[in-house]
Parts: sequence; C-alpha cells; structure tokens
Amino acid sequence: MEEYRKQIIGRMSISAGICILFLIGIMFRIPQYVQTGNEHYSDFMQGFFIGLVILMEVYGITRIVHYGKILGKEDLLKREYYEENDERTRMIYEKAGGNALYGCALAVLVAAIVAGFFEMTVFITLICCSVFLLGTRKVLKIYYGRKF
Amino acid sequence: MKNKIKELRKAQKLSQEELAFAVGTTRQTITSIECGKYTASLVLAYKIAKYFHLTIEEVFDFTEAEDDKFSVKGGENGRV
Repeated sequence: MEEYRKQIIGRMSISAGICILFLIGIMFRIPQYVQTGNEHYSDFMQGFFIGLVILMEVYGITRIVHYGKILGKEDLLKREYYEENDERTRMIYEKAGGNALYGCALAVLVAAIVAGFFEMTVFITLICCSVFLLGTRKVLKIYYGRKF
Repeated sequence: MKNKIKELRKAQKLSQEELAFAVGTTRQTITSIECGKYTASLVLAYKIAKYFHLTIEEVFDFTEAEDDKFSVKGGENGRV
C-alpha cells in the first residue's frame, strides 16, 4: 500500500503542476495571442482555448482534492486501490478500448488545436472526431458494465 | 457459473461491500459474480473460497463447465 501511496502523491504533484501551468497560461493571457486572418474565427478560437484551460484547471483541482482526501484515510486509500485494480473494472476498461482509444482521442484533440491555427473546418472536424472517439469509449464502457 | 456466494454471505450476515473489501475487489464485481454475469478469475475465486474457509469447488458449481468442456466463457482463459 505504501507503493500506491507514493503513486498517489506523484499523481497529485503532476495534477498540481498542470494546474499551475494552465494558471500561468491564463495570467499571461496566452489564448489571446491566437490570431488568425478572420476576426470572428480568432474570437472563437480564443474562447475555445479559455474554455479548455478552465476545464483542465477544474479537473486538476478536483483530482487534487480527491487524492488529498484518500491520502488521509487508510480505508479510503485501500478502497481506491481495490477499485483501480479490480479485475472486472480492468476487463471492462480493456474491452472498451483501453488506453489505445483514449490516446487516439487525445492525439486527435492535439491535432485539432494545431490545425485550428490554420483552418477552422479541419479544427471542427477533428474536434468532432475526438468527441466521437470519447463517446464511443463511454458507450462501450456502459455496455460492458451492464453485460458483465 | 452458479455459485453459493450469496447463501454463504447471508449465513454470515455479510454485506456485498464487506465481502468485496475483505477479498480486495469491488461491490459491483461481487454482484456480477453472484448473478452469474461475470466469471471470477482463479485468484479471486480462491480468495473468496478462502474467506469462507471452503474450497473453490464448494463455492463454485462446475457442473455446467464440465458438461460443455469445449466452452470457454467470454474467451477468458484461466477463469472459473
């Protein structure tokens, strides 16, 4: 369990690091540097980036609070460990595409952000693609969760 | 696969949550095993049987598996 505790502390540090990084991003108003030829398109992109940053920030803080809570109580830590390493949960996770599908969705999202600097149509297509991949994963997880 | 987990649990006035915590799994997994929706791995079956001080054969019913010796449920090898 000590090994898992260290792992949780590591995850907390990563979450905190990402939160700080995005906070710096907001402080220096980095999304506002996104400028394209079209004014409306630039506004849209800036809005998208700010939304994404806020989402990541909220997610990071939620994770830190959650990990902080379970680190304090041995019972909760054990429960979290069992949940993460439960054979049925792992099987459902693997059957729903596992890390491969998640990685693909993330890669497409990064590609969408890069493409967003050049072409709006490609940006929207890739975002839809990423959402579709994540949606498929969620549906498969629900399906296998009910099946097993 | 049929099993006696529910009966054994009820006899000991044990909740699914308590059994799950004792054998290192989740309540949902215990529910699925009890319903016969999920086939436990050999390790988990051993842990459950050990918890009730019984053998795996006494907890899990293998008659169906023996009748259909070519079937490997869900393609999961090493599951009981």
